[in-house]
This record gives sequence, structure tokens and C-alpha cells, in this order.
Amino acid sequence: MAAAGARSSFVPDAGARGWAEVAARAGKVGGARVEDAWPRTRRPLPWLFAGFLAVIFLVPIKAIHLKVQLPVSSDFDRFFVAAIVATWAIGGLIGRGETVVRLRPRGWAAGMSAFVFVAVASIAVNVDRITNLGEWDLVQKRVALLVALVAVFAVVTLSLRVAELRPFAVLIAVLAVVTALGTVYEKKSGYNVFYAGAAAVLAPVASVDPAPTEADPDLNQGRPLITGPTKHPLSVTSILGMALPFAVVLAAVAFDPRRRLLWALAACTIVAGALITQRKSGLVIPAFALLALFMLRPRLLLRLAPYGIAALALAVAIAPGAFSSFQELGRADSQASIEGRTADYPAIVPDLLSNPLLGRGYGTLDPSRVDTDRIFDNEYLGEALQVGGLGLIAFLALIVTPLFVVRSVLRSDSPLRGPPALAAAASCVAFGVAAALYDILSFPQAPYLFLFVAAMCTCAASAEVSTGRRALPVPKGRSELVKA
Amino acid sequence: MEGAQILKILWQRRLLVAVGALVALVAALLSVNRVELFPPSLQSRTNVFATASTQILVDTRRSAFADLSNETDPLETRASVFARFLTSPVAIALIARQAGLPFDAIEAQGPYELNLPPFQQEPTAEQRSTQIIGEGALYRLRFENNPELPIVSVFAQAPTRGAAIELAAAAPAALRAYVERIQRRQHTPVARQVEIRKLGHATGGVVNEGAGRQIAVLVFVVVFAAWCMLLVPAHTIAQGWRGERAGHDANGSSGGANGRGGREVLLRAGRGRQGLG
Repeated sequence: MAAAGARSSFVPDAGARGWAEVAARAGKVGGARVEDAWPRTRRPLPWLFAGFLAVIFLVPIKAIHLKVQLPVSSDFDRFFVAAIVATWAIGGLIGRGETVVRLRPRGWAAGMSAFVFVAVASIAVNVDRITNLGEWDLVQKRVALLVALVAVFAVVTLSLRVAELRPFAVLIAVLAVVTALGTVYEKKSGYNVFYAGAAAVLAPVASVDPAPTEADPDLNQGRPLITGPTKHPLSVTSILGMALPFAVVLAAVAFDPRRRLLWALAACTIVAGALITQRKSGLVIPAFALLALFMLRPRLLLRLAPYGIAALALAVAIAPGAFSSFQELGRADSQASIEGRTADYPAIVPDLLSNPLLGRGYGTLDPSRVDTDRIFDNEYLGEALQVGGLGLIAFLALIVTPLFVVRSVLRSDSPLRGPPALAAAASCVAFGVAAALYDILSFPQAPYLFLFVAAMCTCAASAEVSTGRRALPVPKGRSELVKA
Repeated sequence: MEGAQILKILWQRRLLVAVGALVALVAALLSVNRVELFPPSLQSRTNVFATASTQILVDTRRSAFADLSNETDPLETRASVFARFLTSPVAIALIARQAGLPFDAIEAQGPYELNLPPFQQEPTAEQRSTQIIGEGALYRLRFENNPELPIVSVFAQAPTRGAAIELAAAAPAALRAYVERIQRRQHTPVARQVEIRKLGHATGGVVNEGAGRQIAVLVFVVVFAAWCMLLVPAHTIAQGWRGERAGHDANGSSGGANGRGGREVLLRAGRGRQGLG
């Protein structure tokens, strides 16, 4: 049986010596697709996925204005998404034909489909109001972003291979470390390497907004603005918090102490990058990501407890300022932020009562119109307002579906599935928590990353059945499907 | 490959796909038209609007701006007061009469304190309730005033360009009529009278001409895609069902010889669930 052959490398094994050996072992049990898996492949699509992840972590997407115009939106990310979809479509048309059929778990697209359907229904129902208030242009842009998100989710889910999950998990962790280092440097020097780099590289084809960085503002100007490659500190905090589980899981399943130490250091760097933004969310999101990991695999995480305690003691001794998020809680402007958040709840009631089911239309919330719209520091409130109760349920389903789908492989012994699935699930939880802390869909990085890891969840829970009767290891409970 | 499989399934179910296209077409039509049952008719929704704008200068009979010795501060204060007054029911009634529109068809907003931090400008629940009531109005006015200038900017919105221009032009006329009535009643000396001047004619145009078409296309695409997405798992379920029945018939027991039913039959046939289930 295929699954039995993929004996655990999830639990560290003294006999194993790294990823190559795991892959080889998986190959021995019938996982013939391993040798064509990213990064050892010439298939363009996984390379585009890797590039897209690099864009999410390193490029200030929202600050780039390309000189080429598309009909709806000329944002930098849309060109990348268009390239991914086009490559996928061309590959489908001229492909030689896969020898593997993927059996995806039931309902993998349910959350996304429901959300898209409710979003469009909310626009159709409120079309009079939307056009009357001149909100159609904004709605168009938001729908374009939604379409891009759907495209990324669909193409990644349909194309990602099980054997590619772990390499992509490594890539996410490495990119997050780079982002965290850049963010720490931004705080220390006031120089945003991501914005400066994008401006230098893209100068011939695009203009880049100046970085919003304010490393040391005057006391009366509020908190520092450390944004990394994003437009807002909470956005960079979110992507770092979502990437943290990947570094932690890689540390937990590392084969030798040296490698484990390196991944533990990577995890510490990511946490430092999140904390240095001096936002409470910099503490909350990584904490919930770790809590999710602990709840899903407590024993696995306990293995890293000595490293965690040592890192904490070292951080307190060397750089006590790194924990400025704690001090933030007592600041006057921080208290004002809390009051602003709580004031959102009564303010949303009239809109909720006037459109309880489908809201006032997807994409109609315009934070720049301060006379009519509030800036909700909570995506759930924003969704309730825009797409109503049904839309809120669909949005929750969008976040929960990957967790539901991946539950069968969270404890899988397969080294190809178990660790990436666990990290991706915790990453989805981190996204769900971050969505409660700010208007997360207004900043593209975190939603793109979420849908990528959601696709990883689906992929991890999928069985790959070779039409040539060759099969990759599949999770428990599915192995009988391929036995025939 | 999966895209090709999905297309193959949809081609096998082309009659149902055609029905889906019809359903999507109806949904698209309904998104830009309103159905009236008595008598049966299809009325186009108002998906297009036009805007127009003009400016009101608060001045004196002998223009304060032509004479450097005149202070403009009192005029700035009055401009601020007039901008607020123009959103009041009294002013809206005057504007409605001037533009030949019903009073309740007009919604007026502004001016807003532009220099306050955003969280102080954001509407409270009470303010929002009032705004929601006025959101359905087809004729909309918005007044803006810079506290350092004796000017009120008027922005009008209406279903047609002509109506928008007429509405924008009605605001200064209504204000002038109101102020002159007070001056007459109070016998204000000419030298101390405020003069309401319109800074040029109102100009405007249609803003979102193609919105209706775009909305219809969006609704059609999503409804049709959703329909097709549902067809794929429905096809798989139907096949599984048939497979199970075939197994049942062949073996005389439910679920076939191995007890795992249609899914296994599908897998043996090298097919299986094809992605969107």
C-alpha cells in the first residue's frame, strides 16, 4: 500500500538526512512525480507560483503604477495573475496530458464559490444604489481583485503537486525571513529597501509611490509607521504571522539539531519582524498562529519549547525594545485605536438593519469617503456591511473551508503532506485572526498568501492517482481508494 | 488536463449548459431591468447618472474683492453658514421649487470638516441612519466650503446631464432668493447687504454611461460559471450513482463486491472525481 511505504519522516528520524532523502524514499514507494516537482522541474507554472510568492513578500504591490493600462485595473499583481492564468490555460491546451488524476476532497471550493456568488448577488441586488451613489468604479476595482484572488486559488489548487508542498513551505519561510530582516532594517535606519528596490528595478516600466515609512515620528504624531513591502504595518504583520507556522513546523520536523536551530532562528526573525512594527497585532497574530499549531499538534510544538525559552531569554537580555508591542498597549494613541474599534460596532447597526441579508453591495466600502464610510478595523464588520449576513457566513466559510478540508492529513505521517498541511492550516487560522484586526481585504498581500496556503491545504488533502497505475503516497483514509 | 476534462463533461451535458446560459441571461436582464407584473413590463433601472457643479461667491453689493481695504472675514463666516443652511429642509424646499422637482426627490449633504482626523469625521449611527434614508434619492446635492474662502462649491447629481445642470443652478438661485427676502423684510441698508453671486454657469456630464452593460455582463458570467461549476459535481454524482446501481445489479448486494460502491468503480475506470466536487 502506498501510504504505508511513506513511513514517517514527519517525526525526526536519525536515519534520514534531508529533503533529498525524503524525496528519494517517497519515490521508492511509487511517488514517481517527485522528480518533476518544483524546484527540480522545467514546468513554468510552479516557477510562476514561486515568483508570485516572492512578489507577495518583497514587492510593494499597491505602490506600483505600471505605465501599461488594462481595461479594469493596471495594478502590478494583476499582470502577474494574468500571466499565471495564461500559462495554466496554454499548458492545458497544448499539454501532453497528465498521467495523474487528483482526487480533491469534497467541498474544497465551497467557501470560495459561496463568497463569490454572494458578492455578485449583493452587487446585482443593490445596483440602483451603487450607481446612484457613484460607487460603481470602486466596485469594479474590488471585483477585479476578487477575480484575481479566485484565479490564484483555482490555478494553484489545480496545478500544485503534493511533492511541491514542502519546497513551497520552505520558500514561504525563507521569503518571510527576508521580509522580516528588511522590516527590522527599516525600523533601525528609516530606509525601506522594498520600496527603494522596486523603484530602482521597475523604473523603466512603472512608477513607485514613496515609502510611507516613519521610523521615529514625533511623540504627538503617533506610532512609527513600519510597513515593509506593504502599505500598512498591519499588512506586513499579517504576512509574517501567516508565514511563522511554516518556519516553526520546519524547525519541529528538522532532521538534525543544526537544521532545527536554523529554522528556529528563522522563526525568531519572523517574530522580530512582526513585533518591530509596534502594533498590537504584531503580537496577536503570531501568538494565535503558534497557538493554532500547539492545538493541532501539541507534542510536536513542545519539542521546540527549549528553543523558544532560550530565544525569549536571549531577546529580553539583548534587545528589550523588541517587545515594544507590550508597551504599546498602554499608550494614549493605542487606547484611541481601541476606542475607534469599539465605536465601529454601534455605527454599523443602521446599515446592517437596512440590508441584513446581502448588505449594501460588495466593494462599496470606501475608506476615503470619511463622511459616509468608516474605516473598519475588522474585516468581518466590513463584510457584514457590504455583503450582509449571508456574505459574512460565506466569508467565514472561505476561511474555515481549508481547515475542514485539511483535517484528515494534519496528523499524517507522510513527510510530503503532514508538515506542510499543518503549517498551512495554522497559517489560515492566523489569517482568520488578522481579519478581525483590520480591513485585510483592502491590502492584497495577505489575501493572496491566504489563498495560496488554502490551495496548499487542498493539495495536501488530495489523492494523486496515476492513470498508469502509479501512485503517490496518500493520506490515511484515502489509501483504499487507490488500492484498486 | 483538468480544464479539458471539465470542458468534456460540459460538452456531454450541453443541453443543461444551454439552460444555464438562459438562466444567466435572465439574471443579467433582471440586474439592469425592473419587472412590473401589473401590467407586465420590463423597465430599465437607472444605472446612469450625470453630475454638474457650480460655485457660489458670498460678496457685498460693491464687490469686496475689487477693493483691498475690504475685509473678507465676515464673508467667509457667512459662506460657512450658508453652506450648512443649504442642506436644511427649508433650503431644499426652495431648491426643489426652483428646479421644478418634488421636495423628497432631493438629498443634500455637507459641508464636511476636512481638517479633522478621519475618526472624528466618520459618521455615527445616528448620522448614518439619516444618510441611508437619503441614499435612494435620484437628485443629490453636496455642498463644500473651505473655511478660509467666501465660496460654497455646489455638486449636483441627477439621472440626466440637463437635470444635473438645472439642479446645480437652482442652489445659488434659491439661496439668493432667500437672502434677498430676509434683507427686504429687515430693511437692510444696501451698503451692508450680502450679495450671492454665481461664479459662472453650471457645467456637467454623464459619469457612468456603460455601467448597466458591465453589470449585466458580470452577473451573466458569474451565474453561468456557477451553473457550470454545479454541473461538474452533479455529473460525478450521477456517474457514481449509476456505478453503484451497476454494481448492485451485478453482485446482488448493495455497494458491489468490495462494499465501496460507485467511487471505486469510477477509480477503477481511471476517472474519479474531477476537481470541483
